[in-house]
Amino acid sequence: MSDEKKSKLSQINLSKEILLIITILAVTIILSIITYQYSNTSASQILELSENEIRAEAKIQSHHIANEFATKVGVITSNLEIISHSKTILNKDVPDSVPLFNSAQKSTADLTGVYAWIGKDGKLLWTTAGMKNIGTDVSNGDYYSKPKQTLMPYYSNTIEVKNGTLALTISYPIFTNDSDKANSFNGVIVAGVPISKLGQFAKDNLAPGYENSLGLMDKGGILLYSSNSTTSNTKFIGKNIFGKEIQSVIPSDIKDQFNTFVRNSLNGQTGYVDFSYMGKTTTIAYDPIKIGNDSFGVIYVSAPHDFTLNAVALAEQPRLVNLISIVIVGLITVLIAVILFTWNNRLKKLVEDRTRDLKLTNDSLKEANDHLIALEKMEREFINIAAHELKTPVQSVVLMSEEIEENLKKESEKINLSRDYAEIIVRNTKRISGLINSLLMVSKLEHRKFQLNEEKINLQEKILKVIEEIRPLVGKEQDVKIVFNPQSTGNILVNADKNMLYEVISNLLVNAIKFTKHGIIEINVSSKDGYALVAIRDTGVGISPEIAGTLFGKFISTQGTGLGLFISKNIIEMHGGKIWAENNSDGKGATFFFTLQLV
Amino acid sequence: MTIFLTYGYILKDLNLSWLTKILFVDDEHDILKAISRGLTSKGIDVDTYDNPIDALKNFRPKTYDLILLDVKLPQMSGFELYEKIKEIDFEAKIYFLSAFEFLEVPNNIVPNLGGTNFLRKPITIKQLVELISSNISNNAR
Repeated sequence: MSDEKKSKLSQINLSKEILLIITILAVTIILSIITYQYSNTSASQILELSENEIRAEAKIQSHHIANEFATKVGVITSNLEIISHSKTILNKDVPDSVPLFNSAQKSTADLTGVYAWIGKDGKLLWTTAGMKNIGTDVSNGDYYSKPKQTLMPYYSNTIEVKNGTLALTISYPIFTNDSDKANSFNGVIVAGVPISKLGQFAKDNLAPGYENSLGLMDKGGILLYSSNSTTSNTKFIGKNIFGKEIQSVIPSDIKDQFNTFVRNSLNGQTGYVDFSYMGKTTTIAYDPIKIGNDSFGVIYVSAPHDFTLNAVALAEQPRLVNLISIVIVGLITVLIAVILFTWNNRLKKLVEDRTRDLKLTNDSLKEANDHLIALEKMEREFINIAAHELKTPVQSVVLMSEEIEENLKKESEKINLSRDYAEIIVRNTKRISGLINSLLMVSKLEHRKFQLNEEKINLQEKILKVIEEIRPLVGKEQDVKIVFNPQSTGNILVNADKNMLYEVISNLLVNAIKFTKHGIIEINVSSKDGYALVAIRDTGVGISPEIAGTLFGKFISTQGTGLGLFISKNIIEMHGGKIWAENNSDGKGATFFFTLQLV
Repeated sequence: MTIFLTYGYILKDLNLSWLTKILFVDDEHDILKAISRGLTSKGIDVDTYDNPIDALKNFRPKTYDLILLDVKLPQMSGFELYEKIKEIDFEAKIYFLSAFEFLEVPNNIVPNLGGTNFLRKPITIKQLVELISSNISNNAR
């Protein structure tokens, strides 16, 4: 795979990984949002439920207390009705009426402070509260004038009684003739309800836990009772809700809401309102105390949502915990994913490295194998050519031998053999012999089974000797001169095996002669830097580029044994020298060089 | 024997020869000479060439009972010469005579020859005569 493709692939893999991690994060975030919303919803549902419960509780309480009040007030009213219809009252018999009043008062002592009898003229006829005020003219009071006017029972607003206490009154008109009420007004029976008793009554009827959250107002808006910490101060009792004393303690942001709600409740409505102030919510349930169609007052029960706050906190806890746990899980997953990817990538890289190593090893093994195959091929080639070179002259000798065998059948002392045939035998036998020697030499060289007998040899002398022995080999058709240029100054002595040295020089010289049809073969000897240099230069055909590379290999030459140069190279290199060849710069022929260490 | 030979020669000159005639191509002069004289002394006529070009130049179809080719020749291989001869005379009987130990034969030749038409050097005149005779008996010129 190309480097470009590889980096592109790894880039794609990287972006895939990043995409996966982003997906995990996104899923985590979505899950946390969903869980958050869900628990939000649960929490708000719980909140709502508990708030509704609180509201319901408050409503029940206010309703209950209102009922209690209404019941009690109903008892007072029926007492007054009974008294108003009693004979003693109709007869204006005060002393005989006393027990009636006393027992009435006794029966409603938890609310009433006094029962009183006001005569037709508005003068106080009797009270259970003592003789002091009897005879007073109280015709101005609403408790007298209103029932006289409406001919109906009257529930008053808060009035201030003479000794400073505040009270409500319930008054019942007396009629001499119930069927003609308009013309038979005969006075009023009144029950007085001090507001202190109202408060106490309320407290006694309130469930524990609600002791601090009760309010009582008369139908005119006067605060009669409050268990609230800020208004239980007596300075607010008896004051108008809409008056500046009370209004000033109501927080401004809920003032309008508050006043509206108060007005609604004074209208005789029942219900509840939620006030939120400083993060806290309070439900106020209100109920009018109704006696028939008349309203006596209004009960308020306020329930702060403290409990619900706790509930919400509890509900929110899991929300937070869920959120955190989801985030943690998400982060852990991301971490695991990152670890996995890193690990994966490391493994991948490891595998890639190993694969690359394996591939390299594989390639080098292949190379080695190819090399071995090539070597084997070369070996076969060598055997093939050696066989050919040997069997060719052998063929001639065999045929000659066959001819001789034929002649031998004649059984004469001498046999006739034509000159041609004799020459063939001689020529080819020499050829076989030379080749066998060369082959053996090559075999010894290849298996390093060689013993060099080095001695000091005069190079110039040796060369001269070779020239003398080779010169006759120059063919008649060749116009070749052999010239020797020895170095003029002194003798050149080398350490060499004399036979081997002879072999090399004669090989090179024979080659030069073989490849030069006409011209000069020049042999130069020189010395430089501790080495002797021999150059054999011819003017022959030169070295063709195809064989230049393998010139000193086995069986390259097409003439002779083809092993001469190979053997020469091995011999020179065994002596620590170098051998090479170049085509001549003037284009005519080639020069063969070799070096040997000087003594 | 000599009279027989002479008669054969005369007939050959008159182009009515019924003597066995073979063609032999090899670049080794000594071998050419030895085989030529050896076969001739057994009454077999031999045309010898030391290069393929001359051999092809003078080749006429239906002239030879047997053709003997060396593989290693100058200017073209024995196999190429074989193909060229076959182009001229498809029915020609051709044998290879080689001194090589391992011989790689081109694929297009093997099916034709079936491997039996290869002879290894060194060969004797006796063996050649036997080969030629066995070919004559199943051959009409």
